[in-house]
Amino acid sequence: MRREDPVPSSVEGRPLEDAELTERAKDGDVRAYEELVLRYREVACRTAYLITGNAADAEDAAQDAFVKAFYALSRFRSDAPFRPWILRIVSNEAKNRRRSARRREGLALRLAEGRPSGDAAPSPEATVLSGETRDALVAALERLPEGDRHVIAYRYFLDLSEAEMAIVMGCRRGTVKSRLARALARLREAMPAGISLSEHLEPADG
Amino acid sequence: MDDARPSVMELEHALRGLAREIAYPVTPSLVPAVRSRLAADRVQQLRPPFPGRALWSRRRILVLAVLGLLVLAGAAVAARLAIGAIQVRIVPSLSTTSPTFETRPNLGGAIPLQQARSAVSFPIGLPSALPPPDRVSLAESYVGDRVVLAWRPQVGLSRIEPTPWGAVLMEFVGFAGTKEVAVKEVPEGHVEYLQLPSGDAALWITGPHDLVLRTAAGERRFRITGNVLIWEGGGGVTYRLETTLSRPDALRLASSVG
Repeated sequence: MRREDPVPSSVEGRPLEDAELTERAKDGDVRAYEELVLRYREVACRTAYLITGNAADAEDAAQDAFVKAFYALSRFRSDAPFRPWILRIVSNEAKNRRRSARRREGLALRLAEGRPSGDAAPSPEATVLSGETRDALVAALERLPEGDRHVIAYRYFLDLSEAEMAIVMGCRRGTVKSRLARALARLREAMPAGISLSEHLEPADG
Repeated sequence: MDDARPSVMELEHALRGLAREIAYPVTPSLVPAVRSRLAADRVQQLRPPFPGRALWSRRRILVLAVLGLLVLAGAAVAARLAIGAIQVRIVPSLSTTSPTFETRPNLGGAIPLQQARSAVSFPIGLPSALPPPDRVSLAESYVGDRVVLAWRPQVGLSRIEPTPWGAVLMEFVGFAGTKEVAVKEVPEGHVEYLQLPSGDAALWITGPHDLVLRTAAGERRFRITGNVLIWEGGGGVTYRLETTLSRPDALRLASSVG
């Protein structure tokens, strides 16, 4: 993938930390900010896509979020993690677009045909979760309230930590735990009786 | 039968597996678009060239101003506090010889909440501690969209005289470097700088104070009688909640906005 005229992202070969880049961006260094865009555009677009369910809206939301975030850098503490901060802005933009478009479709779960996205080596779960089980899980997710789908997406699809989720969702970590537990309980209720995942799953550690 | 459903642990495993099968669209480059938009803003001088430092400096001023107020309590000093697009100016006392005060700001025409959601560029937050608003309207602000939600007096929410409302919540976008939408002139001792449980900075203003709006038609001045909590949420949205509630109750209500 082509990196567009990359900014000087290292000093003597050392990649600049997010904090250094945000400090430079606060001084008006747009190229430093572009490096942050490069670093986080993928997770930003994925976050927006999971919320909007539409590639074009997701791109627009992510782009708007990065522009707005640049002007909001003054409110960002450089020693704080940049990723959840930008994802919070992305998430707000994406939710707004979803509402504006009055779309009511569920979480975007277009699944790959025979190949997992992301890393080349599929996890044990990815190799066994298929067919009826996968369809039932996706259908159950689609039946959940929007908020429940988002909290599940943040944790399991985007792999955000609870601390990151607290920043993205603008709430305390304890609230994240309770909302996640509630979403999982509702997902469990939404699963059809008789579907057992245990026979399809192998222990995560092997 | 409930027991026949997968356990939560099984669901977590399954969701992690499902994550690897989601076919995301190809990630767009974004950098050229962001770069050109920032460049266009600079050319049109829509934004400050040093957005971060601009407000950082203002925050240092804010901290110094608060410290100054503590040290110089009682002195007739003027200080400036700012949250989002609202600036607060501390004055020794409200002027009794001010030019004519206008009636309360017009809230604009009522529209359905859904229409407001479609019209503004940010997610409209609603306080879960209150029923749906009795009135929703949009108003053009100095820097962008502004939505006004109002609730009639109800149990636990007494009337803000002389308005017909028990609570008025304004939400609008105000980014660093933009000119403030409004200036509040508040007598000494009637404003506090505090933090919401979420960590967001907030200003708490009690009792009568003046609201000065900068509009295309010039400066307009209004006398506000309720207690006002102003805070900044995520995504650059500034919230202004006016009620007759006490500070703890107003904070609780503000914390329920989401």
